[in-house]
Amino acid sequence: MFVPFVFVILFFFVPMAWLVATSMSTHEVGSPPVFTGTLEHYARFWTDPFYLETALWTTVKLSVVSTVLALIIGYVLAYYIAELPAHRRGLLTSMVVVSLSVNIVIRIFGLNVLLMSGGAVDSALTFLGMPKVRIMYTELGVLIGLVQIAIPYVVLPLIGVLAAVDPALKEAAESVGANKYKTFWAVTFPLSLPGVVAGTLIAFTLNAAAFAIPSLMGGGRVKMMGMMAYVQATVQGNFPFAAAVGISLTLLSIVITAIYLFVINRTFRTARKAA
Amino acid sequence: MAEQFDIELSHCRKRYGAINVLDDVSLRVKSGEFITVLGPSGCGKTTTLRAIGGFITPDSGHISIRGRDVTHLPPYKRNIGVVFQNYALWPHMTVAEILGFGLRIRKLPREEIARRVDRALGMVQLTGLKDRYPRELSGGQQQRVAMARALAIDPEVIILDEPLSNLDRRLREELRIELKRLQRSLGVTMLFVTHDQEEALSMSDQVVVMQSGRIQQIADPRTVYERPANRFVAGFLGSANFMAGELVQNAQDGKAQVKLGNGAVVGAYAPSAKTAGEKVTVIVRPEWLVLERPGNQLAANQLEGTVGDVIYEGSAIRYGITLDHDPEAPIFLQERSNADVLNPGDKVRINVINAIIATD
Repeated sequence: MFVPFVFVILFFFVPMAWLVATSMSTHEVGSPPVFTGTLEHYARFWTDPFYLETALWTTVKLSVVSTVLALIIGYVLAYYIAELPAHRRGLLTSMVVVSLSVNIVIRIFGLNVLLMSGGAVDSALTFLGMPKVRIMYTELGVLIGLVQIAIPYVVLPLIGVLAAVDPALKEAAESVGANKYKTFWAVTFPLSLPGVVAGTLIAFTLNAAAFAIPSLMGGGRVKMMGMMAYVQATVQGNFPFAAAVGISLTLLSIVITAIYLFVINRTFRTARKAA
Repeated sequence: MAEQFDIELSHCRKRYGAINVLDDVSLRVKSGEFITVLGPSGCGKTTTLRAIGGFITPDSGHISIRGRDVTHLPPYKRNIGVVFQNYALWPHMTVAEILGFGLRIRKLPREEIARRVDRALGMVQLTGLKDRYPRELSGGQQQRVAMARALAIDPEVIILDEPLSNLDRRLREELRIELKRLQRSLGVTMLFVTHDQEEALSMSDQVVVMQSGRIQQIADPRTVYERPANRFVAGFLGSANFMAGELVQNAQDGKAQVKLGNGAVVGAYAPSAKTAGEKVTVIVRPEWLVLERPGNQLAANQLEGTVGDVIYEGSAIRYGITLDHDPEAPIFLQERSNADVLNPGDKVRINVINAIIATD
């Protein structure tokens, strides 16, 4: 019974506490961090326009936009899958699950082949006479990568809630005069909100903390906070500042999540009550 | 001008794979009528309702509502109130929001919506529950909200899919009376789907009996019960005994004389013309058999047998009786329970007071 608690304390709370302690330690090149309770690293991060404009803004922008895009694409996909007869739904759902189990680096290399100069997308655009667009090693490339990684996390919970919506509820809306569009917004969508919230929260927190995608697809030009913390720790050797960036990122995610839940609650108060 | 019907189905067919779920279904419902579609599960009754509602389109045939061909119209262009079996109340809306939804879509002014929501709630006696969510209501109240939602849009007709089947017996009987009273006072045309024969007989102006996608009979409740068109209808509505016999003379004007296996001759209703000597099956309801004290002379319409099962049902007693002349086909007889109770093994004599010649 108490093994799980020990595990969580040992491998989650202890490292977290250690990280917080490190972020409040002094940094001397060549010597280990000494805990002094200083907030200088936080002050540096949160006041320097360089960090705010590049790392913070890029992180918020890319993680929010990628989550919204993943939600839109994922919703359409999940809706389609949920409408299928049960036996075919299983096959497509497992395909989504399988895509999750493919190693992220392998998926990124797949995207690389598709998006690089002279790759499939580039060739297709050229063939269609479109101007040359650079995708790899730009924000757009990172965004595509983030969306691609996030979609399965959005789709899976949505298939569950959408398939659970009683078809009679939609028919009832049609019977009193609602066309397909109104039926969707008045009935299907509010009832799918728990899935929307679950999927987008996972997608957003994953993408806010994204490391592999900006590293491998951003070519060092697209600076997200996870990557910046890594560079600070391994290249600069500044563990306290890296820790402060990491903790700041966590706080940022929590705040944005809280605002998101608050707005959802406000807008769809009754829907959540029923869910 | 031809007579106009509120609901008219002509030659509707629908096939799923090899199964004909609707097999040449034609049906006409007059304005203000309460019509019940009755049949066992899989008979096509729900498919008929869904075709009228627009949730499925028949492969061929036509459906019109008040003379307007709606065969290919989607549900939201039909103006038909639908009451679903599981009520299908939107869980995220309050009662007032549920009833007002169709009215908001029609872009009625706010006060008009409020007025009509109140009126619909009054009709189903739920005034004061406006702000409740469906899960805060009892089964009976949910059923009433579903009814009120259908009424609120001021539909041309209302179709109901086994709306009382999820309720317990007492409530079901109560709502049956209430629904019928509401329908009569509003004069609204209703098509009611059920597998419950009691419901069908007690509420309807017309009963449609279906089996295997085909309509077996359309008639008023007394006719379908007392003059069933065929064996299936006879067996499905109430219980029926089937006995083999032979026509004594040509059946004419619906009247016939049938000689049963023991030589007893009984008068029977003949739905179609038949010639003397023809082998027939007669349908005899349990209450058309009356116990007779054993006498000296066997009367012309009497049978003899032995009591088997004795089933006490409160207001009535049912006896299973093995006939002397045909022990292979035991019959059931029903008597009011204030009579003397017989015991298994007792010898009895039975008067056959009514019978119908079965056609297939």
